[in-house]
This record gives sequence, structure tokens and C-alpha cells, in this order.
Amino acid sequence: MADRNLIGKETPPGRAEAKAEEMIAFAQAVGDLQPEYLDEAAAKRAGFQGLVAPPTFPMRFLFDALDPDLFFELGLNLAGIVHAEQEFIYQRPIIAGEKFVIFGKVHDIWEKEGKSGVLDFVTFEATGLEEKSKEHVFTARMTLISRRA
Amino acid sequence: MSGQVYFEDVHEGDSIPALVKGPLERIQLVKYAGASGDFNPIHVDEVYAQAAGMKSVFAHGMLSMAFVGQMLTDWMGPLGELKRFQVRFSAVAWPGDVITSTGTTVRHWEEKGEGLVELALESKSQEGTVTVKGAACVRLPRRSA
Repeated sequence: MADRNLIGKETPPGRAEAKAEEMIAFAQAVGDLQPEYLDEAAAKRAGFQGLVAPPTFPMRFLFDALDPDLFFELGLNLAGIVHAEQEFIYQRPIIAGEKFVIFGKVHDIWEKEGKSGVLDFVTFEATGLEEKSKEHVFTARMTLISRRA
Repeated sequence: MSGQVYFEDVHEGDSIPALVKGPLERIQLVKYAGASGDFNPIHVDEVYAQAAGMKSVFAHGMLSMAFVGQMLTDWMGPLGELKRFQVRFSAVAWPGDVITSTGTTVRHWEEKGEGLVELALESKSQEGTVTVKGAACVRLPRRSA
């Protein structure tokens, strides 16, 4: 089972940049075509400093920032992992060109007896700070369920 | 998109405009994989998905969440600010599904002069299967401000 002693364990800080072309590709893949996501001039007319990222865009950073070693240390059954829950807490939207330091950690670990056996739950937390100002911009929490093999 | 919504216009129990997406196409799952960086083959590789016991590839949960996010930001307008957004994935969305997202205001209050609204969120397929359930907190601009 996942070791509860790993709660609070931090991953080495990662770095991420909100690149305009990646933000546009993300909005287009979702089919969310708000002008503020696609057109810098429109975003500025709406009062933003630059192109705005859609609310679930920080997910893109989490895949870059999650430490695979920590993931393996958790001892989850990788074949049986399901994304169960996702939460974002925002201080403000992400703007194109911003760079972030991403701090990741294990937020919680618990288990539950399911119909088909024991399920392990793990919540990872990632906090994004703007690199220069150290301003806290977002927190993301991802809960995975793993069915024991 | 219609005009900006203001705090004073919203009441508890109000529904926000629903958003209908789809039918989902496999090509959208491929685009989303590339754009999000989530290359789990279960969403893009039919052979892999079937070997894992699924009837076909299926949408990333985060794509379903993105649809709900689109509904929220369409509604709150450029002056609205999303403070918190949380979902639980209860069923997967399949290629061909039409996903309808809905939201209802469950709380409407002032805090330190800010107008805040809490919404209950849900997405369903055309068959009525709930794919996503969630909640969001949004700050709306005030007419008086």
C-alpha cells in the first residue's frame, strides 16, 4: 500500500513557462475559443497584461513538474490508476510569458475498501509561484485512485 | 457571449447557461493529449485501451473539466474571477458522446466588500450518465463598484 509516511514529502522544485503558443493550442484543443485566450490584443482590451490561459491550463505544468521517483516511491499499482478528483485554487489568471517555480508535494494518502478490493487514494499538490515576484498564483491538487493488483 | 454578469444580477438557485460540447471525436483526444502533455495511451491508442479492458479510448478527465471551465468563464465574463474550481470524475466520456455541463448558484455572499458566488457543477452525457460533479467559487464585479 501507499506509505502514509510520505504525506508532506516534497518534490524538487520544477520550472514552467506559460508559452503563448502552448496556451493557444490548449484552448483550441478544448474548443474554448474566447478571444482573451487566442488574441493578445483582445486580452489587453479586456484589461489583462497579455494572453490569458484557460483555467485548467496549469495541468500542463503538473506533468512537467511531477517527480517520477516520488511517484514510484508511492508504490501504486500503475496499471490501475484513475484520476478521481481535481482542484484548482487561483489567485489570478496565468498570463503568457510568465515563468513559474512549481513546488510539488504529497498532500494526502488514504485507503478505502471498494467493491472490488482495496483502493489507495493519493492527492498531489502543486503550487505555482511567479519566478521574479514570488507571487503565489495557483495551487492544483490532483487525486488519483489506484486499485491494488 | 452576452454582456458582463454582475453580482447583483445573481440569486441563489439560479442556473447559469449550460454548455453543450461534442459529439466528442477521437481527433480531439489526440489534440488534447498534445496540448496538455498527458500522453496516457488509454486516451489515444485504441489497441492499448481495449487490451486494458475498455470498449475504446475515452476522454481525459481533464478535458471534461475543461468543458466545465469553459462554461464558467463564458458565464462570468472578463471581469469575473475564478477563485476555486474542483471536480470529481464519476464516469468517463466516450468518443461520440455529447456532454452537457450545467451550473447552479448555491451560495451568494459578500466578504470584505467582494461579491462571491458558489456554484454546484455537473456534466452529463446524452444518456444521462453523470461524468463530472464539482463546485466553483467565483468573484463577480459589482454594479456599485
